[in-house]
Amino acid sequence: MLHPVLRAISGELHQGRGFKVLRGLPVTSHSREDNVIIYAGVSSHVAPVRGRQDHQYEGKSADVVLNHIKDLSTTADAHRIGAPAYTTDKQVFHTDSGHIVSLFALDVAAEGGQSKLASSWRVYNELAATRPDLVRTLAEPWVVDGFGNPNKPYTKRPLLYYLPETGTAPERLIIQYARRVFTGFQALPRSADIPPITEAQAEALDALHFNAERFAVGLDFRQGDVQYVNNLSIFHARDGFKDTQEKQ
Amino acid sequence: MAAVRIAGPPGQPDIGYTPDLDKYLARVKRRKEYEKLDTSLPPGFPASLDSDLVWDGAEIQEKYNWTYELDAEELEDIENALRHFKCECSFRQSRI
Repeated sequence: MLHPVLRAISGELHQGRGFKVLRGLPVTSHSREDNVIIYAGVSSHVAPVRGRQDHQYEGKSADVVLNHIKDLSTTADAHRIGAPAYTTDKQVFHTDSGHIVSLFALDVAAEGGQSKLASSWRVYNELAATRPDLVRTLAEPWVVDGFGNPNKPYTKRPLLYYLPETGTAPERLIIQYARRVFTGFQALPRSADIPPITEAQAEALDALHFNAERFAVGLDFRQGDVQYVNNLSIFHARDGFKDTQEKQ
Repeated sequence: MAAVRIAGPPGQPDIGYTPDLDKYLARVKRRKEYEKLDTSLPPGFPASLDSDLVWDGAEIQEKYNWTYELDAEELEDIENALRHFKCECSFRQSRI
């Protein structure tokens, strides 16, 4: 019975270490459609509610709940790539949106691309002990780039939230951040008509990254692996990689 | 004439998407030297979190097996579920 196994993985994500790799899904013996059905079906026992990743598909309104992470730099217009996920570049430590994030390896890179995870709770403990001022900086509102959104050129929110224990919920520490919306990335530099970040914020961004690197673990990724990560307690990153035509 | 232009709004610190250790260490030094940094946490924030969610990459490899390998019976469960799902889909479509 697979259901109890997958529920135990859910428990590990929420109350344990916050990550788990499910190994051995049979990728090559199935069509792409069947692989997606299997991935969605298995994952629905781990985390039953799917978050929306995008609001349109091929120009039409859609509730997109799955993204295909692939190097598009050789096939798409480079000026339209605004995120490093769609290149072979290194992706620095960050969180995504949502609570549990998962990644299904249809294939692995020819070389490199190692996945790295770090406990954001461990990074918090380090900063709280050595640089409480940076915890203050992270808990204050930051100017998040809307990248040309005419209705909302920017929004403001903290990167770090602390929720004390209540009668019904355990203590929670949440760090939600990606550098891109503060530093820009390649084709999408920080918008010139919004406020800059501060020196303290610049230091805090680097402090998160370099401490995450210090406390990180590297996971080897095999074809047929699904990586489940508690996005509210873990930062993730990916090394740069090389690919071949056959591996894509 | 090409002028050097720093991307971003005026006053944006010298920081890029890719973290630069030298720039980081220089900024730490500069801020410690010239700014008065707060020495306390925000009110109500814990000095330390105590949870299994706190772990260190150097030691977790010995403490935690994070890989679950599916066995033959579980893979058979998955194949059955796939067949069942696809059958349900065509059944629903035929009713519309």
